[in-house]
Amino acid sequence: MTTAHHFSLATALATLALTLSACTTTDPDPFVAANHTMRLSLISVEEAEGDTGEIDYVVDANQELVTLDDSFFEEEFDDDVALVEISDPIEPFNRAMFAFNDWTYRRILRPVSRGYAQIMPNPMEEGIDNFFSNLLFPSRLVNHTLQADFVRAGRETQRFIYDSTAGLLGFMKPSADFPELQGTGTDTGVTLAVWGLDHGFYVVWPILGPSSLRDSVGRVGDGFLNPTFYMQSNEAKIGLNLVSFLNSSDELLEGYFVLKDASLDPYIGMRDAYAQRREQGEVSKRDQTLFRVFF
Amino acid sequence: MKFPIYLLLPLTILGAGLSAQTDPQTKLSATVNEVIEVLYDTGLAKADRSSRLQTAIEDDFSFAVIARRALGRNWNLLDAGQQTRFVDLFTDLLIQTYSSGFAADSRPTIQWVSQKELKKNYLEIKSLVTLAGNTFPIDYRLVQLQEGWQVYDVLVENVSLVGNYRKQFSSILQKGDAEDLLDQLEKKVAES
Repeated sequence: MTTAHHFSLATALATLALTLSACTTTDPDPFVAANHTMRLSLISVEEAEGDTGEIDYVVDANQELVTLDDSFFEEEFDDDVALVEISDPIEPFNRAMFAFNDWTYRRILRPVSRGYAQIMPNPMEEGIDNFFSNLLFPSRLVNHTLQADFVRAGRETQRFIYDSTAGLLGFMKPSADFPELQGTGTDTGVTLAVWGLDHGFYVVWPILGPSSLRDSVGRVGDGFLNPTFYMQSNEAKIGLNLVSFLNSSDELLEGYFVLKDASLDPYIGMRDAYAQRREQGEVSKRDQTLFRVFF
Repeated sequence: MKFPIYLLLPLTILGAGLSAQTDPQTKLSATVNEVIEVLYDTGLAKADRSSRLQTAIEDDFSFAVIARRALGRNWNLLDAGQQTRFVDLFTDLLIQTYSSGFAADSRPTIQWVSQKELKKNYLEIKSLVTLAGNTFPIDYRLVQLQEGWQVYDVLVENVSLVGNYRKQFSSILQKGDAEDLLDQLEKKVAES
């Protein structure tokens, strides 16, 4: 798979000729072969005319891609999602916290959450997850409304009613069968973003992990919108939150370790994943025409 | 009078051309199903899983394009030999990361949501994956190349794989040179 930047026209045509002969000899179906010939010759004409149309490509004898138009590789991504920046002035602190978290996740949290997952039957665990996520409905409804996103507020309400009734108080999630009811998650951090606040800068919190100045403030808001906050008994409150945390922790941790294992610099990988995901939540909001009318 | 059958010949040629271009979503979904088969087959040794994974996806995923896009403008910091090494190492890293396989207790189910043309020759295929009660989006970006429709980026929960690696690589290249990047890749591939 060698890659050269500039193939001369002669080399290009020569390799094309090679590919063609390879095609006609190996392809048993004359019609398919004829079809290939047509497509390939079209490309060589474009090359000859220096046409920089959609994509220029040249193939070598193995049909491997050799050069594509440089702009294809360097272009900004269509929706800019991939090139989100988040400023990180306290990187040394964050990296230290990242290392601390990594150790804690590996040595303490993962064993605990695996133990929990082992004694807790899978359907039970899913049910509890569903129950707690359904319980966060007030937070999502309030935030969608504050973002003037009445479409998603409506969908979220539909989901809540459906899952709370047919889904037996939210332990089951019949709404999962409807793709149009998915992707309605939101939080106070997104609301602040829609109102025009930037991230500020990137912060890694102990145990909780990636956040930003703005989203940390958002988390406090989310806390007030969580029904368990208003429970009378402190013991019950702590107990419920602990179950909710333990119950969702194994999937969160799995996700963390998959990303970490795939990364060359896990710290940068996590930071970018955080920035990209948060950006996606906001972009879909900023595009709402309804929002533009109101603000 | 007997119907002159040769009049149908142009139709056959057209048919051959059309059948060669199967619907990209159908093709991708077959590949993804195959990948799930391989990932959740607990009877496979890691090396076998790697090679079967590679065979399953090489027709639909263009690693040359994915690797080069992951470097972006920094591609030119590498000489031709380094570029080849980079594409090979990066491909190994991607394959090996997922070669450990997954526990077989629950397999994901996939809903194919939509197929949208981003612009001419560019497609985005959206899917929803449900695993152990959690549903999350995986989107595939495809470009039409010589070899047919090829995946050039995957977005897991809205995080672009290419964009994520580009950030990591450019951070490494800011502190060191191309050889440092290749060394780190080599080390990572060796340990995974």
